[in-house]
Amino acid sequence: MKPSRIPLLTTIFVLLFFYVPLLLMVVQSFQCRVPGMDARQWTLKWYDQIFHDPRVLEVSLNTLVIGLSAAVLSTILGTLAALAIYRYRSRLQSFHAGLLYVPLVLPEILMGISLLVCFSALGIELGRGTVIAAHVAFCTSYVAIVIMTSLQGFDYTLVEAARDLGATSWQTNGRIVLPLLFPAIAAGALLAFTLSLDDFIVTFFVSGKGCTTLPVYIYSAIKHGRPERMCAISSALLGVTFILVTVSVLCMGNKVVEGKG
Amino acid sequence: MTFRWKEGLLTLPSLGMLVGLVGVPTLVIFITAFCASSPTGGVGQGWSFRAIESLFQWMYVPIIIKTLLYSAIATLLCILIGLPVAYLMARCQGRLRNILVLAIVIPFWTNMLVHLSAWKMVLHPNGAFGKLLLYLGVIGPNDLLLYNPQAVILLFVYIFLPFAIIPLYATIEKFDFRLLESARDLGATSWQALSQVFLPGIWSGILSASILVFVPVLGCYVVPELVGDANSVLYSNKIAQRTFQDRNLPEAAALSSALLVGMMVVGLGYLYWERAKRRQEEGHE
Amino acid sequence: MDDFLRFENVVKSFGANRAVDGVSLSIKKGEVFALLGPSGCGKTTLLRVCAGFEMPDAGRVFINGQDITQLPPEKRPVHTVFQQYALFPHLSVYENIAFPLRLRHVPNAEVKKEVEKMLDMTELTDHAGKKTTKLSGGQRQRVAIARALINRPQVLLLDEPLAALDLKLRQRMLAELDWIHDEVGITFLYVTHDQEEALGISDRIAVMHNGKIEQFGTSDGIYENPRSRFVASFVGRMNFFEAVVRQFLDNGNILVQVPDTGVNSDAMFCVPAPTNGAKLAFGHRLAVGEKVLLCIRPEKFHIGATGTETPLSGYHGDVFRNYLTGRLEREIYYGSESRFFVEIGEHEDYSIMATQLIYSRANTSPLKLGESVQLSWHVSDCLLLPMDESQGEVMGAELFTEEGEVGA
Repeated sequence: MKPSRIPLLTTIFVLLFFYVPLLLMVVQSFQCRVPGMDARQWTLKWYDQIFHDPRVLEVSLNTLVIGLSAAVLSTILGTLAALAIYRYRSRLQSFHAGLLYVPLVLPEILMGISLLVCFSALGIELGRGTVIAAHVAFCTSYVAIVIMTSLQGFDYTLVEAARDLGATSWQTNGRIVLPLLFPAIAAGALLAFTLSLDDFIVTFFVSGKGCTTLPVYIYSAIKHGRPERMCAISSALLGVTFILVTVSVLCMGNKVVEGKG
Repeated sequence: MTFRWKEGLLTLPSLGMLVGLVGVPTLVIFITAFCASSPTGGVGQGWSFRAIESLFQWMYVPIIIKTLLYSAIATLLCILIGLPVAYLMARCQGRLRNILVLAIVIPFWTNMLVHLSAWKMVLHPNGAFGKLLLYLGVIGPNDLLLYNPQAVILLFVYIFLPFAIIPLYATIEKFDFRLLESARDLGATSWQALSQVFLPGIWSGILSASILVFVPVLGCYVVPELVGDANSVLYSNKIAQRTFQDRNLPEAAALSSALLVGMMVVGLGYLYWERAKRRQEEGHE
Repeated sequence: MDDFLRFENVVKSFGANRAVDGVSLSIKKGEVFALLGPSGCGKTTLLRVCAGFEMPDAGRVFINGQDITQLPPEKRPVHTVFQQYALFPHLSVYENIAFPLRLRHVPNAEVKKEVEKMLDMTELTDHAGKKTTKLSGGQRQRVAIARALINRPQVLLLDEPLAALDLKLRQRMLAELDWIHDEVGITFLYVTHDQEEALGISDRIAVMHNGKIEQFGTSDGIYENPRSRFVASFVGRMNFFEAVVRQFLDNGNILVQVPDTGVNSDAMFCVPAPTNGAKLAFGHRLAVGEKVLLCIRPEKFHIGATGTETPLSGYHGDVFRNYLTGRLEREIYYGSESRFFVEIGEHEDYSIMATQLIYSRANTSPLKLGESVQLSWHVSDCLLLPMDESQGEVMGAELFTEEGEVGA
């Protein structure tokens, strides 16, 4: 059979489609106009500006705090949820699992507005706390699904083997189940952190005036027409994403290879 | 039935969170739709049908049609472009496959606003692409690449294409390609093998990819807001407008409820259809 | 110590299915005892009851006189070698074997000593640092055994330990298990569906069927003296004939007649009598005219071309010899033996199997397909079983075929 060329050509097109705009943006972020001429020159001045802007630093720190809190909380909740659903097959757990899937199918705008309405009805002031709560609400589902996927491939005879060889129920959890689930838990935590870092729509609804995250900041930079700043911050964020994703894919990639060997 | 405290202890934290932050808020949307609005923004005192009545306006009809149309076009394009890419990824081996996966996963995880920044730059009249098209004579000096429906759909496809490729790749990877060889061996042309063996075999992947593109597109008001014009105002923009500009939460809640009900009807309809089909298949046996 | 490990009337149901249905069994200290049966017969459930993974609905389990029925798995002096080995993928070979000692917080020096002894015994010393996923099937098997033995359990449970290995490796590991048993001398409870494995390794065998023990005894006792149609056909291969008791001879043997055997349909066959000891298959006294099952294993036949004269069953000199004539339908050559399918009687599908070892190329018989052949066997090489009422009407000669084998 002669292989078709369509997949290869489409893939090349898609990769160019994905990366050329991003690349142009990064290039642009290192350039500025030569005064009085229609030419451009290389510069680091936009980065210098944003790294010395106390507002940008504050927003970055805020984003980081929210991301870490959301990641830790949703990892704990998601792990517990996955274990409960895997372990027990009751009506309570079908309800639990059903509710867990809701954030995955709910458009973000609905999630945002429902939380906003709820918070304002309860008179809760919008701020960092509400943003973390909102992020936990959707991150938990993703963490739980990653761990449930890993549990599906989990060989339950390993638990029996440990018990058989003299391990108590606690020893089995500590020495066998958690170490074996660790890659999935770590992947879930990383996923939650990235999701939190990435989220704009839900955050925008529940952040109020006081709490700005990087995506919200970029949004206002786009809206208020500060293209150089927008490019520089976006490029920086792109760099962070690139590193995070590459590291996690490399880690998981090795796991996959080991699992097959 | 006795209550098992171990199960309760394990379930309570996440279930409590889900009920409090997902279940109750979703129900509260419906309730808020029947509340009076407060002039200071937020929810006022007493009950009112004003918000529900405001849903029945002619201006929503073109918006709903446009929203469905844009989402459908974006979904269709994502599937059509995503399929060959996912196919190539699944057929590659080792290092090349890992690189391709990484190349698709990075845009997947990149912030939507970063993508928007990049395209704002590229499609800007003074941007690289604009200059190129101007030089080639495709556009005139006064034509705008941004702020039109095409830009909105382009950005939808750009942002959500990885959402389609990843589930498609996951399904195609599990597909047994010997089936295609066997189909060809039995006399199918490559087109017949594709349409009668391959596509039915990965149908579940196509379906989940479609849902994963269609649903977020429905709620993604940022794209039309930043690169669209007055003609590309979508349903989600109306929700955002009611929330942030009009500061009328009950009307925003009413719009959201309508969307939620629409999604539930489609979802339940699909489940019903699926069950009916399964029953029919069982009947044939 | 006749009942070192004892099951007392153990019952275990899953829903409506009674997996283990009132099993009582005594196993001696230091012996290799095999639980043999087809899949779904309850043998694995019985093993899991012994290990503590399943609580029996009724009945008790004793080890060395101590009731362990209610103990959790980790408190029992038994360890298990799992079918798929259940090696911990995140631990090295060394740490997998050391795992039971680590749980008891044994000092490092002692762990090292013990593990090295085990590594040495199982010839895994060179692989100690490897991940278990990097090992071959046989090596994984040995890690699982070493891990289960390091705590010196009183009983080692082996759940189809060789099922995941290929034929050659299975035979080698069987010999190795035998050697390990000689070395450690503890009691082995060995669960398998493979009759050759069970016959090869165990001192005694219990054959299970539908949650019950059909028969138990020594390996050769089970093979030579099956007490039910199920055991007869599950352990080894067996030809069955529906026969009628015709006459009791003075020397205690019985003459039976097999209807529908065609040319010599009035032929009598001589079978050792129930009173005669060795071939006694069931207790009650037979009566003339009673229907019974005549069973002959394929390798007990002597097969040869029919001469000019067809000899009839009867006394040839002082020896009674049973003869049967048929038409050679098919021969399947296995290298070390040949299997012959012989059609007898008037019915087309009335076929029996005879095997012949090919111990020398000189003895390959020049039998021709489609021609008449003659089967003979010694009186003491056949036995009678009661007609199983539950089986309904038995179709004359029936062949128990293994899966995948060319049927008769």
